[in-house]
Amino acid sequence: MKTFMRFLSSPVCFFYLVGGWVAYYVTTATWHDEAFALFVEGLDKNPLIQALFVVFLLSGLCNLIRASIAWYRKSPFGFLLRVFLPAGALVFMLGFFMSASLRQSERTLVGEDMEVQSRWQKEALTVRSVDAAFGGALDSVGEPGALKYLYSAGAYFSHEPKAVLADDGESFEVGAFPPKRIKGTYYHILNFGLAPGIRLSRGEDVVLEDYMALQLLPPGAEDRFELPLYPYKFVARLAPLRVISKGRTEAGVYDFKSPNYALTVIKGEEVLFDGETGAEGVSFDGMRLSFFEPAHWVLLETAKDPGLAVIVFGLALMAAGAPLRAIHLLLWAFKRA
Amino acid sequence: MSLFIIEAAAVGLKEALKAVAVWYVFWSFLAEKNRPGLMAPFYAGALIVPLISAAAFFFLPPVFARGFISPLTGYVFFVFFAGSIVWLFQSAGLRLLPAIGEGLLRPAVFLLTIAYFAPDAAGSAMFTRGLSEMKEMALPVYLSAGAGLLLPLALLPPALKRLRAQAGRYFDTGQFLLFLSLVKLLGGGIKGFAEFSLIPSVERGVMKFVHDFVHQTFVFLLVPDHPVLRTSAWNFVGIFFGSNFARWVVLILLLAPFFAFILMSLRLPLEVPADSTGAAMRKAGAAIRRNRLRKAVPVLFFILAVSVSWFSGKGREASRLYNPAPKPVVSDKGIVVIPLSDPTMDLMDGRLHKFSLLLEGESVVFIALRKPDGRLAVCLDACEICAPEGYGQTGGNVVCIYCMTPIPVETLGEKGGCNPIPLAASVSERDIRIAEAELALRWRDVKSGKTKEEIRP
Repeated sequence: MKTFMRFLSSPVCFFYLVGGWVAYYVTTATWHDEAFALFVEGLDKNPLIQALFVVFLLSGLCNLIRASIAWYRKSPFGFLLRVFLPAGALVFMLGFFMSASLRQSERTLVGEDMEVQSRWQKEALTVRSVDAAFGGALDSVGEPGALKYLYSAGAYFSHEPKAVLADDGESFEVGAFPPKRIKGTYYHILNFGLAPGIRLSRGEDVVLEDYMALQLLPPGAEDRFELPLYPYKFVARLAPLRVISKGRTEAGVYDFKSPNYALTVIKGEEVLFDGETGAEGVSFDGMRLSFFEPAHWVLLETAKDPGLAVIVFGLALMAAGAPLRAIHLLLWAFKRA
Repeated sequence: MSLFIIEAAAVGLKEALKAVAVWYVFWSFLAEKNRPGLMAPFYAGALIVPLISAAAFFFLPPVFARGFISPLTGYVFFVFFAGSIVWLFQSAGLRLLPAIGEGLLRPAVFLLTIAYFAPDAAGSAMFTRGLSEMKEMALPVYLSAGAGLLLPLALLPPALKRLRAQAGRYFDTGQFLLFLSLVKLLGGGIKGFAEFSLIPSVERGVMKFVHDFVHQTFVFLLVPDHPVLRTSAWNFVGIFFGSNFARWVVLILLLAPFFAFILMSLRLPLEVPADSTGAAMRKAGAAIRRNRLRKAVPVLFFILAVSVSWFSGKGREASRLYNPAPKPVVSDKGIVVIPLSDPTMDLMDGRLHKFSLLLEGESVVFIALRKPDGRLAVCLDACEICAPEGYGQTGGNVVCIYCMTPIPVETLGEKGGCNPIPLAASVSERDIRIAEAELALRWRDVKSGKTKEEIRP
């Protein structure tokens, strides 16, 4: 055991472990496109790769302890300048391994008043509200009432979407980044959009009424949907109330409370409708498709990951250690000169 | 004189110069170590290389060069590069390797000689063959390549032998392996002028690792891979995915072991004879220091050569091209429909867009690019002439990655030459529609070489 530990803490062992990984990666990358993805998958599922990585971490730790003792004996100040960077790298690698092998995650598309509960959670959270990040960019063209947006390329993504989740006692505001930790689970928003309210009627009878989560943002984006049991295909995008041109720049004014849609209705090979419509909708085949006020949806990613905090700690140590190591190298160079 | 004849001569010359440089340094190295007997297995291996090249020339299809020989040349570079690091650290005091028995040395030299030269020689031979077929001038191309290869091989060694074995003093095994990897890096390309050195492919490979590592870290940190972040946060994330960041990290990864070696060498205690004192001890110490400095020269030269090559223009043309990964698309009732814009792209933004459709198990790639007149050009990601390696974009041109010919964007949609093959596509205000049959037909023509037949008189 003593011999094994002595070998494990030797630079030779560490060199071979790192070199072995480099050889494995280059060999895989030469003949297969996604070498790194295969490696991460191996960290998750392959016991051999997991075992070797643990040996690598142990060797790194033993080498760091051995080197730290030597640095401290030589100079406590030098030890402080040198230790943070390799320690940070080791902690980062540990966090990386923990995330790759222990992480559980899910993605759920939710709107207001829906519940979100991942498979590892005992209790669900309710989505109290969704703010789809139009705030702060309201049109100032002076039309009161409806929420309008002066959209030109790039302006749309300058605001972060938010969702408010709540359990029985507390409320939590979740954005895109950084993730919010709620009862041991991380939450953040991956994507958001509009879900038009759709009502399909036959005469006076409403046969279907629901929200359809579509990717209609930024305005101009097109998405398709079908209604269950009906032979129609729909292609939709937001249509502007009007277009403002200033020189070469064009911007559209969009109403997100009661939007206009550019809609195509297809049945088989036949196009039944192709044009713009408002809330009143369109008629085809004795049916009527109309729209009501859209909801906002967000794609929530939830993750249970013990490694995330370790990765962040490792990065912080490396960020502190890099300039200290640079100072140490400069002092060494001056001393030799 | 035709550019292709010059290119053939340059390819031959490059292979000859590599062989002569390696031969001279190896001869000097062995002379310094008093091991001239190891030249025999080197010559034996060198005699096998033309046989392998001839076999590749006559029997292997071009796709073999792309799919096997090209990655193999890069892998051989890695083997010698890694070997040089191991040996350098061994000489700096890290006991990494056991002693190598005498009986193994000669077979090792023989096999390593073949491994070092054969992929480049076979790849260059196949490239020359492809060049002669492409330009339909076999005899001038072969004569030119032969002259470029044979004249230096005949003239240079006798001239170099007059210099005697000067180079040997600067090399131990680690330094010699490093020299081999540098020669490979600077001259190991097998695509003629399009890729003379391995620098673009090495840079691409390491940059892919850096990009994948950064991306995976961001996935673990739950950073959205989507511009829903605040602009400031998105711009900060963008720094780590930028090409400048990756390029510097790649350079640091490649050169860090050699800086570490130099530091370790300088810090090694001087092993002067135990019984020497005073002036004798100082003399012995000075001799050891001089020897270490001499042995550091090839390492410093490697660092300098790589740094200069990294930041100079020619060797990295291919890696400077904007070459997006194709987005997979599907066909619906025989029609491929691609919206002009969606949250992740805008086809009218003037940038090159690539898409791939799976047809009978094969990925067919096509491109879309808005021309200066506002019209959208939709073409196959292949031309009538070259091997279908696709196009990249730089400035106002798309560039054929195989032959590096720039094609002005204004001419897209026109047939012929190195222009991408136009596709019959219907472009409306909202989307592009291409018949799957059209894609299949054009791709079949490229694969079968029919497009080549059409330009023969």
